[in-house]
Amino acid sequence: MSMRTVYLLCHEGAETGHTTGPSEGGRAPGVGRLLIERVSERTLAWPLERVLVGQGAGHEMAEAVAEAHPEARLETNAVWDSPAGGESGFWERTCSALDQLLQTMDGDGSGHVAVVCDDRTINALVCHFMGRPEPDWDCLPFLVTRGSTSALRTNPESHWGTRWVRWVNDVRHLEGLGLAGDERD
Amino acid sequence: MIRHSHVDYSPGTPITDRNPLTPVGLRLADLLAQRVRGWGLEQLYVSTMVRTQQTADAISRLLPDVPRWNMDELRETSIDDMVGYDGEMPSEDLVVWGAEHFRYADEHMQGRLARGWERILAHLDASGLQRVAIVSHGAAMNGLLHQFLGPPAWDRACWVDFYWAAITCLEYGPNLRRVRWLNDSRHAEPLRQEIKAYGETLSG
Repeated sequence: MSMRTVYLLCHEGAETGHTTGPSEGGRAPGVGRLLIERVSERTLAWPLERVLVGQGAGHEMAEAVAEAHPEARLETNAVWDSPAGGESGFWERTCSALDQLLQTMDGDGSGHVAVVCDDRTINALVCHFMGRPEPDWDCLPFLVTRGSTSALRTNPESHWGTRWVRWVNDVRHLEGLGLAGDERD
Repeated sequence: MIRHSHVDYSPGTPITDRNPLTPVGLRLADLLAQRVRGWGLEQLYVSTMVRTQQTADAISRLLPDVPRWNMDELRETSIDDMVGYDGEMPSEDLVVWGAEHFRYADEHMQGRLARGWERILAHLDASGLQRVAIVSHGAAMNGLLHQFLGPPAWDRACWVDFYWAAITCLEYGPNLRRVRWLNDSRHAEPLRQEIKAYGETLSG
């Protein structure tokens, strides 16, 4: 068993730091297209084998990323969807989806997988991975900007530990787009 | 919150409280200082270990008017955290420590981190400062991050893989505790290949 990395790509329909809803059927307009291109280019640094997305929003980004990685499989599964209005089992569903994914990666030997989802889902995935409890959904612990990337890694051979959060909310590839959240320098 | 710059942790090198920055680490510290130069920092809180002091020195050279507190509470896990340990005392080299040693030392470290964190918050509340930097270490910053987010406390089952001189931004206010970004090291790009020659990051 070796190193596995799960990249979390915040899709173009997501808002920043508060409740988001799926934007089924709509195509990303204007800056959204540019954002998708930038995210897709950013992923070229990673040898992705699978690109996962929910059944709601995020398909345009997932398709663009999959196109940039001809070897990668694009897989749609509702477990990666944003919380539906009033959904009570969102936390359990998302945590279980991550556990299942990591297990599958161990089984099929895949090392690099991207999940395209929204900021709440990414908060749930990061918190669960870190062993933290369910967050307060009205005050998310991690700001996750649309178009940002985050990365989680498992490495059973590391001397120091097996689960690693590599980064959260990286937006270096979005410089110049004038999006909220890219105000670091 | 800033991790110290590059130190040689390649196999065979002991990890103690005295590792200094490498030559490339000193250059990276300068890049870090340039990165934060325009951020309006009002205060530095710095661990008293050599590698964090050297990292903060680069910032202080560019921003000499920014006040600096050197704080023992922000130090990395070390043999000093084994005080009162009942078993056989390990060597000061963390590489040869067992899980039991880290469990004991981490508990001690988390206690002092909590005290340091409270001291910083009290200072922020009293002074009204808005943009400050903590310069600390990989494990200590993992402890501080969980301190910031609230219970449970950090354990070594999951790490944030803070890169050399990487910056993490925490937003703190009366009704807000939010990680704005975690582990941004874009200023290290020009030196990344040179650093890689020493070995990979902690996570592999």
